[in-house]
Order: sequence, then C-alpha cells, then structure tokens
Amino acid sequence: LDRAIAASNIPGIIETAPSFRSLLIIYEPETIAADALVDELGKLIAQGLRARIVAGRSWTVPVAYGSPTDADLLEVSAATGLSREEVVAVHSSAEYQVYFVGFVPGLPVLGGLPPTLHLPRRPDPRPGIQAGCVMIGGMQGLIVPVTMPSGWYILGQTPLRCYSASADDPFLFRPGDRIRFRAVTAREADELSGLPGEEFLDPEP
Amino acid sequence: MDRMSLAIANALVGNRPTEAALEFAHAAGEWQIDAPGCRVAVSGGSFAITVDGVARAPFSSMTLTRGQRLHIGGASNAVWGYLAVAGGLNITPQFGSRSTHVRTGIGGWNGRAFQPGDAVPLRAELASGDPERAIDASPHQDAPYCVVMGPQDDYFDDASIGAFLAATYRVTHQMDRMAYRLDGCILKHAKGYNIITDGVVPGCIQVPGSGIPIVLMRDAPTVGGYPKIGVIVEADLGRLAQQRPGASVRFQAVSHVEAQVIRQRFLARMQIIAEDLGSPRLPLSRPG
Repeated sequence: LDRAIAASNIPGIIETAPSFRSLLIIYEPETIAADALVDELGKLIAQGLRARIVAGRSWTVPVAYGSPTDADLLEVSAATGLSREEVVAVHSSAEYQVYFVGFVPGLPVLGGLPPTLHLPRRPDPRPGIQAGCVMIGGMQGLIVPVTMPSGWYILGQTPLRCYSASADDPFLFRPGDRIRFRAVTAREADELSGLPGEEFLDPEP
Repeated sequence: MDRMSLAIANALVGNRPTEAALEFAHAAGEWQIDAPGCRVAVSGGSFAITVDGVARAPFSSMTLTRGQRLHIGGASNAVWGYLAVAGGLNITPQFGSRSTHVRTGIGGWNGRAFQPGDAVPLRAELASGDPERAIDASPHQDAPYCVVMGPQDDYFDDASIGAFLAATYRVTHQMDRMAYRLDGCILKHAKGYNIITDGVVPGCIQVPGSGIPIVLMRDAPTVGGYPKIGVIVEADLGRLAQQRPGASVRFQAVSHVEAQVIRQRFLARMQIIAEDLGSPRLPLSRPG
C-alpha cells in the first residue's frame, strides 16, 4: 500500500510511515478530507496491491561481540541459559529481514531473531546508547544509527554506520533488505571502520 | 514547539510564518549585533528583554544596529521563546527543513544549538525602514487540551478512559523537545502495555507500563511500542509545550470532524495575525 500511495497522485499526503502491521499516513485535511482520502485508498486497494516481497539487498554486517561492554552479553547469557559463545553463535547464524526503518533516522528494525534469544525489554530504557551498537529486544533486532535511549540489550558493536548525513542516500538499509551478522575481533572492527556501507553488500548471486 | 508563537515572531519582522527563527527554552542570553543593522522580535511569552541595558518589550519589532547588545532573560508564563530576524536565517535546508534535531545532530546550524562565540548567519544585513510592528500577546488559555481518542484506546477499560478524561495531570520536569512526561492519575491497561510497534506523531499520548501518560512532542520518534490512548490536536500542542512544570493539564475528547474544524480555526487565526501585521500570506498547507 505504501508503494501504491507513492506511485499514486493522491493529493495532500505529506508523509507515510510503514511499520509491522500498520501504515501511518500524514495528510493535510485542507487539501483532502479524511473520507475522500479513505475513498482514494480504497480504490488503490481495489486495484490489487500485488503485495510482493521486494528482492531486498543482502548485507553481511561485521560485529565485535561483547563490545563496547560485555555486561549485556553476559546478562543475555544468564537469562537465556546459553553460554556467551552460544549467544554469539545463535545471533550470527540467523538471517534477518529489515521490516522497517525508523524510530530514529536510519534505524533498521530486524525480524528473524531466533526464539532462544527472545527476551523482554528492560523495565526502563537506558539513555546514551552509541551508534553502531547491535541490539536485541523482544523478538527483534536492531542496529543503532545515532545516539539514542533504548531498553534493549547490546550484543556487540559494528563499525558499519547505518545513517550518514553526507551520503547521497543517508539511510543505508531499506525495508526488505536481508542482514547476516559476522563475528569479528575488536581489532578487525577497527580496521573496517570508515569504509563506505556498500562495502558490506553481498555480491549479487 | 509552539508554531503560533513562531508565526507571530516572523510576522512582527515581516517574514513568512515558516521562516527559520531561533527557538530557546527559558532564556536566550546575550546577543551582539554584528550586521550593520537588523530588525528582530521576540515572542512566546513575557521574556525580559533589554537592549544595551534598556528594557524593551516582547511581541514588538525593534531595529538594532551594529554593536548593540540584546539580552533575553526569563519569562514567568512560558517555556519556549522565539527570536526572529527580518529576512530570516541563512540556513541550508536538510530533508526539506531548516529545523535542528539536536538529539541526532541533524539539520539547522551544524546540527546543534548556538554556543557563546558563534555567529548566526543572516540573509539580510540591513533592516528596512518600515514602521515597527507590535501585537497584543493573548495569554495562554487554561482550557482543556482537545484529544482525538485512539488509536489504541481499546487497550484501556471504560473506567480508565473515564478517569483519563476526568483527571487533572501535572507537567513534570521531564520535558524536552521529544516528550513531556505528566504526573497524576495512573491508568490501568486492559490488554497489557506492549503493542506491536507502529507509527506515532507529535501529540500522541503514550501510556507505558507505569500507567502515567507521556505526550510526544515535536521531536517525536517515527514509531513507538506503547499504547496510545489519544492524540492531542495540533492546535493545542503549542499551548501544552508552553506549560511549565507543575502546570495542570486536563483532556477533552473531540471527534475527527471536530478536530478538523479546530485545525481550520487555528490556521485561520495564524493567517489573520500575519495579515494584520502586513506580512506575506500564510500558505494554508504544509506548516514547517
């Protein structure tokens, strides 16, 4: 529906925000009344949306697990009953899908977290989580694009930056992209830092 | 945070209502005029203003010359103030906006607040000879805040909905451009407090596990995972932004249709202010 709206000429739509099970549409009631907008959306849907999983791009994202702190990783280990190494192995063996990008600029919200790593969020969010932190929370994963508060758990840190103000497209990931995480040492992560995001795209099959 | 006050400050110096101006919280400190001349105005509240030590009034334009010092102190009746300069600020838009998102360092002037020693880039270096303008500042009304209920009001039982609409909440010190945390009646969730993350807008009233509402403000995130009991209408959000910690807040439910009428009245009022002060017409659409 989001793509159909983008390709349509419906007037008065300022912005849309897709998420797991809803689409937020911000519109100007001066330009199009709510009932007229609903009619237009109904027409788009009636035309058949041909909902397709977009062939997203595939990324391999390096992660220095246990960085910048080991504390969360040990907490996850204790809560799941897995060893530290098993947590890393499980997290880096799965394939994730970017369901949507948001909350803060460029943040990919990831589905595909193996059930053994599903954990409730912390009761209180912590401020000041740094860009590059690779986190899990609930049934989801994410990569932190800019310093932000979060109640999720930090498993490690990637040198990859998913938001870059100076890039042509400041947002590295798009909905439909697939991500695998690859464990690297802190030294390797250092060496990889500063590389353009495209370096981490998998070769086309 | 307060679009009406931004529009007023701009109108006082002859700018378009959406021209970039400086927003400040509580006080704006001292500014030295480096341009040969400029016309400025302060709006938002009864801020204590002096020029070279001489008291001046907010809600009035004033023409200043090189070397003069404008001091903007506190206001007892507002949080956010606006300093507009005739001609506007020379700021390159990012993502279609000249606003600053301080939290992420995006947009505005180097993505951050101005610090002592910074120079504010102006578009016009000379003030026009037009007569000065002033407006009577209408005090913020102590009316309830209009709320369109939902989209997750079904996460609360009838008693909690009733309590929400009957209660008096207080603004707390936990307030910034992202959110205002209220204090008061604790709401009970009927279906837990975790929803599947979905879209949010400024004005959304999220109710987290604590049962105490958090109002998302201008720098709201794009999505959130707490149930939203309702959304404060745009016209009332600036008024809420101006409430200081301890101020009381009551809510009143309105329908979608009523909310649209309120919005039209709000935009019309902004337009009338701009026209009365002789500034260019407001575009009715796309504020910001």
